[in-house]
Amino acid sequence: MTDVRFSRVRKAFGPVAALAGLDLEIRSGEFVSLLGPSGSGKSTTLNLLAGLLDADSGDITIGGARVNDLSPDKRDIAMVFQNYALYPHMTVFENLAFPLRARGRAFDETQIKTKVEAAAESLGVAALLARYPKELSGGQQQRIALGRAMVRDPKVFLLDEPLSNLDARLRIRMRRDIKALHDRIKSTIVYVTHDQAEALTMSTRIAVFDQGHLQQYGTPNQIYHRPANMFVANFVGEREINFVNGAIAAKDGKANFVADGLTLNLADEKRWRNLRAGKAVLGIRTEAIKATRDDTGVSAIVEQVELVGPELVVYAAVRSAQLSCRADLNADLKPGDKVRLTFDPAHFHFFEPDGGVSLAGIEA
Amino acid sequence: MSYVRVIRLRKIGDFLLNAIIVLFALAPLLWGLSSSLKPANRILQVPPELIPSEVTFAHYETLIENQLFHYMANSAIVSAATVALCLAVGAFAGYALSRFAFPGRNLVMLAVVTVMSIPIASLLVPTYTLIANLGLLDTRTGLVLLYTAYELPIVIWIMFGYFNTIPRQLENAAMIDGYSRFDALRRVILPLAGPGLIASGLFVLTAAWNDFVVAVVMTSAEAVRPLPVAVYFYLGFFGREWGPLLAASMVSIAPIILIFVIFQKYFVSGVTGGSVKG
Repeated sequence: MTDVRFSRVRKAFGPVAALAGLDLEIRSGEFVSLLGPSGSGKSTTLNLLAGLLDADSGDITIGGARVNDLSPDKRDIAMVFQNYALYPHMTVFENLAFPLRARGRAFDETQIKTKVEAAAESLGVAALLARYPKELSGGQQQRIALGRAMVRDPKVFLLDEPLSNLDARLRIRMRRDIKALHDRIKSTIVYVTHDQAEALTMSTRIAVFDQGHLQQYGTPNQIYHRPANMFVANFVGEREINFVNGAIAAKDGKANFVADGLTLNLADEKRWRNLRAGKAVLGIRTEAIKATRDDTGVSAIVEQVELVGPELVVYAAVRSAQLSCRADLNADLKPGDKVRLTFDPAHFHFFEPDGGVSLAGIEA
Repeated sequence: MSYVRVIRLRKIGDFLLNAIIVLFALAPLLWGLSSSLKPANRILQVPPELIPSEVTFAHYETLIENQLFHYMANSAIVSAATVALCLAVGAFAGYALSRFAFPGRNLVMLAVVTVMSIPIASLLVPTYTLIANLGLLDTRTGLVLLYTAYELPIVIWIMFGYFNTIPRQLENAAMIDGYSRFDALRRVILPLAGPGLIASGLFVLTAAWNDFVVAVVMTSAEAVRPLPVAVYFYLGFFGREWGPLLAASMVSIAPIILIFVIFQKYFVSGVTGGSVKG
C-alpha cells in the first residue's frame, strides 16, 4: 500500500501561509496532478511530501506511515525536478546508477548494470550512457531524469513541472510517454504543473490549488465539467471562460438566466431546474457558444476573429459584454459582422456572485 | 581616418601599455633569475647581461649546503596543513551560510567580512600573547593555527559565493536518491565546487607560503623556521653576496608561480564563480 495522505497540513513562510490546512488523499497507483498558478501551494505540497520542507503542523503519511520527521533519503520516493538536476560531473550511466549506490541499498555491480541498462532501454536512451549531461538535448536530459527516478522502483514518484522547459511539440509527446510509463509501472505519481492541459490529459485525479487552498479535487472530467468555483472554471480550459453577470428568474413559469441583452432558457436542462431565483454569474466556455449567420439566437457583433485550425474563435459583443465563441471555418466572419449566438445549456456553470461557489454543486 | 586604422592604432596602444606593465612586473624577477645563475664576479658587472654568458649553479649549491631543503620542508608542511585546515573548515562554513537560514547568520557573514579587513600587523601583539599562553610559540602548529585564523574569512567568503552558484536541486536530488545531506555534499556538491576550492586554496597557499611577518615574530628556533624567514637570515649570513640571496628568492617564489600556472584557469573561474553561469 503506497497511498499518500495529507491531514490538516499547514506551512507558512514568514507571514505568508503557503498552505492553509491541506487535506488530500492519494490512492495507491493513482496519477494525481497538483494544478495551480505560481504561489498557489502546489510546489510547497510536493516539497513537503518529498521532505525538502517541514510542515508547521498536520500529518503526512506514505503507505500508512507518518513521514513528517523522516529525512528525504528515508522516504523511498523519487523525484524529477523542473531543471532535471542531473549531476553534471557524472556520465549518464553514473547518474542513473547513483540512486542504486546509496547506502543501505545492497546492489552489486552486476545488478546495477542490469537495472541501469533496463531503465535506459525502456526510455530509449541506451545509446547515451557514456555521455555527460551537458552533451544532451533538453528532451534527452528529461528522459535521463525520469530514468534516474524509476531505476529503483520507488513507492511514490514526484514530478515537479518536468515538461515546462521543453518546446511545445516535445511536451505533448512526453505527456504521452509519461502516461504510458505510469500505465506500465503503476506507481503512485504526484505531478505538479501549472499547465491545465497536462493535468487534464494525464491524471486520474486533479487537485486544483489557489492561494494556499485546495479548491477542488476530482477527476479531469469533474474538474472540467463540474468546476466547484469560478477560479477552477477559469483556470482549467484552453482559454479564459466567459463570465456573465446576471440573474436567474422565472418567466412564464420557466427558469431563465437574464442578463444585459441576453435571456437564456434553462428549463430544458434538469440540472438547472432547482436553482433558486436570484443573482448569479454564468460561466460558459468558448466551445459551448456557437456564432452563426442564422436568424435565431442572441444578436451580437463580431469584434475579433482567430483561426485555431479546425474552426474559428470569434470574440463577439453582446451589449457591453464580450463573449468568446466558436464558428465554422466557412462562416467567413470578419470584425463588424452581425451574428447570432446559440448557447448549449448542458455546458452552463452558475456561480454565486459573492465567493464564486458553484450553485448547482459538483455532482453530475 | 578609416575605422581599420583606428582599430590598428588601438591595438598597438594596448600592446605598448601591456608591454610596459609586463616589463615593470617581470624585470626584477628576470634580473634575479639571470643573476642567480651568474658567477659571483659577473653579477655586478657593467654593462649587465640578461642572458648569462657563463651559467653556474654554485649559488644554489651553497643554499643546499645551508639547509635550504630543511626550510623549504618547514614552509611546505605549514602551508599544506594551513590549506587543508582552511578548506576543511571554510568549505563547511561556506556551505552552511549558503544553504541554511539560522539565527545569527547575518551576524556571522558580517563578522567574516569585517575580520577580512583587519590588517595582520595590528593582530600581531594579541596573537603573540595568545600563542605564547597556549605554549605554541616556536611550533609549526602555532603558525598553522594563526594562518588559518587569518585566511579563513576569505575561504568562507569565496566558498559561500561558489556554493550559491550550485543549484540546491542537485543536493535535493541526491537526498531524494537516498543520500544523507553529508553524503550529498561529499558526492555531489564538493566535486562541483572544485574551482572554488582551488581558488580559495591558492589564496591560502600564497599567504602561508609567503608570510614573513607572522613567522618571524612567532618563531625563533631554526628547527621550525620557514623559508621567507630563512631568506632574511641568509641576508645576515651571506652579507652582500647577491648570488645566494637571489637564488634563495628564486627558490621561494618558484613553487607559487608553478602552482598558479597549473591552476590558473580554475583560479579565475573560482573567484568569478558568482558572476557568470558556466
